[in-house]
Amino acid sequence: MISVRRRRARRLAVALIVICVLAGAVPATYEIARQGLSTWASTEPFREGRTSDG
Amino acid sequence: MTTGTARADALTPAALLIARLLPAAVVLLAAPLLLDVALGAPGAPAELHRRAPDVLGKAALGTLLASYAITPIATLSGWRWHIVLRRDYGLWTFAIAATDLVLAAVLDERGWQAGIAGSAGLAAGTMATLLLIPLALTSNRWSMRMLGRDWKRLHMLVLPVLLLVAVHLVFIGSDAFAIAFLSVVAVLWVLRLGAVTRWIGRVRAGRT
Repeated sequence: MISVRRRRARRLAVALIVICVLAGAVPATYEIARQGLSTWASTEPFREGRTSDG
Repeated sequence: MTTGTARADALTPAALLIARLLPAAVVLLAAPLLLDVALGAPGAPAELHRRAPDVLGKAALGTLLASYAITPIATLSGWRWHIVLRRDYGLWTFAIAATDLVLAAVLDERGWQAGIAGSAGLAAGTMATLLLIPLALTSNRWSMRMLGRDWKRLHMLVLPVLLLVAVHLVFIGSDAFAIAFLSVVAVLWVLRLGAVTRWIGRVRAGRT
């Protein structure tokens, strides 16, 4: 039998994950719509050294 | 033998303190850049935007791997003194990655969306950082008590985070780095499997 407090904590954790996924997915979707998938998924800008990361 | 053990015991707190503070070196490395931006030095934001992802990205990667390696190290060595570093390095990873994300959003001239999700590589890194939020927020005893068995399930989120980091590395063109990263993750993952830890435990018990 799961306690009410634990059930609430679990719901809160799931909600937090959903919010975080949406916070990443929404701007990504916007950028895909703006640039097109092939440009967005291209690795060329990084390989050409215009942007550095990682 | 006793003297050696006593010396090791005396060294442990010092080693732990050094290990806990090691990621702070990144803050010191980035400090001059941040100071230049704060003082309004010409070209400082552009320089920070150019160099921060490299410094912070590599540091976050290092602390993430270090955090994931703590349990396998305990399995292999039998040490327990370093277990506290798992949480420490996890929180450092979040702090460094979140700083990287905020700087990317604020400093990108194309706008914040492009800064954090302007390419597949950036979006994967952003998603990995965002998924660290539930992990960082629940890295405390209160959350462990509240969530019970679900806490462990929640912290399995580290696996998608590691995968997203690998995707991030592939899409930013660091193929060799991605392969090295995934290889280390795979070894650490195998060392975390129940059957493997039990086998290592039996081997270690047989030796003593």
